[in-house]
Amino acid sequence: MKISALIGQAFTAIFANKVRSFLTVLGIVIGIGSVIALISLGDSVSNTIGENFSSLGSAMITVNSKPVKEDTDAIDEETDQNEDPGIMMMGRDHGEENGMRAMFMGVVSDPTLTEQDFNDIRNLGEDKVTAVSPEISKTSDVAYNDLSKSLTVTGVDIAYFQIEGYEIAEGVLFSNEDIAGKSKVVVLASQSYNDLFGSENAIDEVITIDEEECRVIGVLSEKKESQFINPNEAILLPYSSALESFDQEMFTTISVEAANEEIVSSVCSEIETLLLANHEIADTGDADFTIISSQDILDMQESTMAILTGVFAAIAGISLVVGGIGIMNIMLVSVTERTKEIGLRKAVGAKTYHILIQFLTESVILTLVGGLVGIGIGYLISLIAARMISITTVLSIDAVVLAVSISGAVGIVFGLYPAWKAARLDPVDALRYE
Amino acid sequence: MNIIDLKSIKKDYRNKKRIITSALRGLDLRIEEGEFVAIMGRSGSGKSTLMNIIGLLDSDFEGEYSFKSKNVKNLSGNKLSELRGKEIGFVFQQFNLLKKTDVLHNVLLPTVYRSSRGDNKRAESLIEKVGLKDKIHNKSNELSVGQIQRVAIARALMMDPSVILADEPTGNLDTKTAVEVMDLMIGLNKEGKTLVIITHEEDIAAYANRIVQLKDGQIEKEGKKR
Repeated sequence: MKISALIGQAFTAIFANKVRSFLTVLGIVIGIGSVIALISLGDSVSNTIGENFSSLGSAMITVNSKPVKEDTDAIDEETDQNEDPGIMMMGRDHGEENGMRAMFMGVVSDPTLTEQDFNDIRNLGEDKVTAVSPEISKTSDVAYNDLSKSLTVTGVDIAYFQIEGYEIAEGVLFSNEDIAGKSKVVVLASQSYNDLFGSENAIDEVITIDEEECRVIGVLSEKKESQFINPNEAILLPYSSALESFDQEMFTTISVEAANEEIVSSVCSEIETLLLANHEIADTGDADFTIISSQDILDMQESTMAILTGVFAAIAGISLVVGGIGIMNIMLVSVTERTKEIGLRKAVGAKTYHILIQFLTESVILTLVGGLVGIGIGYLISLIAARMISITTVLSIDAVVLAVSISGAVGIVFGLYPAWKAARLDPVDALRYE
Repeated sequence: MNIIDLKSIKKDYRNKKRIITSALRGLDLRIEEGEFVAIMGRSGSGKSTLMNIIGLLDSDFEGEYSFKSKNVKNLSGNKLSELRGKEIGFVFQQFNLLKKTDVLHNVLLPTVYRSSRGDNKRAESLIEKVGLKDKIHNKSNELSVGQIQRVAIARALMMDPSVILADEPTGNLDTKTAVEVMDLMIGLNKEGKTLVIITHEEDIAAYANRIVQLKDGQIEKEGKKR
């Protein structure tokens, strides 16, 4: 049997009804397009998140404030009445995910963490924790000369620069003395510096934060942007000064860098015990804080991706089944329309399996063409989506092979019945068919 | 030597109401190699049934059929296909060309299932032989009916079969074209091909060396050209 002739004839049959063939493969195009877009986007997001967290460090632990349930209504009321952006209240959803959300979104919750918590964690010792920093943020009006901007100002410890991997570009970082003395000094991240000073000198210049004067003592080097937080937008000042300026007594977050990856979970347990004791809470379920390690976030991201993948795979699967039924339908129509041709082919020597292979070839070519177009469209969708959320698109060979295999399999599965029906036609009946 | 030897062929059709109609009733027919036989008869006389049996398209009958001295009665469907492709060339009244396919590829159709070296050259020479050299790359829908039937004849010859079986080959042609096609058929017979034509037209049957007249599934009479 001449395979080249068979493929050529299959293409002739497909192109004989171009519009019909196009409409037939549309379901496959959508199905495969979804599969490719899903895999490509999933891989791209995973890669980007993986990169972000690897830059963050796998030994990172974040302790976040979590508002206690009883306070919720009061907080809501207070927020509703007060339009002032003030301390960002993003922790009102309750539950474990609050802290994770805070970590993901770069927002702070209702502060519940004390300076004693911070000191006690720091006192766990360098063999357990290498860096600890509290955080308290507020959206403030930051002004220099005539320029005024609404920016997030964060009070931190010196260790914060180590934890975040910031490097000083100009000037100095604030010192323990600045913290002890509640000095009104700030360190600007690169974008904040550019926003306020352009390329002018900032060191020893005075800016106002909510009309309180602060002296710029350092400018940080530009840092690679994370997916969730732009580290270059930071305006950092000593946490003690921030508490005073923001009229706060507690922190929203305490960032902890464990000595190594292996002890992360034991350090998490120790911090939990310590904080429960400090906050006089007996039951873990009532805790007014959450503790998340970077591994927890990675796990959560993976499980979220798994759910998303499942949902999209189901959609793609349904689309492929619908597409496959379309293929079967059209192939059955084709068999009926070409009954006489089948009779002729049998008359000139075609055996049962020749006819079977011929019609299977046609359905597989249809689905493969649909699959290839779907790969192109799916990749295009993921490219556009990735551009919209500023991540790099990845299209693996595995995904392409999977898509081609699926489309080929759909062609075989849904083309088999029509092909079998064609193959078993009696030549006399087929030739007589009108 | 008999190329086709049919003995006591009976063929019944059963409709959905299980009513049996006998198409052939114990027919005996022998056709020698190189003969040109016309099978005539009215509608319902059993011509088409006989053609299907001779052409190895139908093996569901009673009696014995030897093709080239080989009993073909009990061959499987695939074996019959193989033998058909090799030994029998069909020319149909409805032409049955592949749509949107050019002359060359229509003629090459049988080689899809049994290819050999030089297929293209042979197809080209056959197309030239039927006078369609300048139409070789024309699609079937760009040809006249006469030209289409010539393509069908070239296709029937493609595998160099022993027997050409033509079912009303001029049924859809005007007189002039019918004469041209029959001249072509006579030429093939003179080259040694066994020719069996099913027709109800006496002037077409007159081209044959032997005319077999069917009536009610039996041979009513037969006669040779003097």
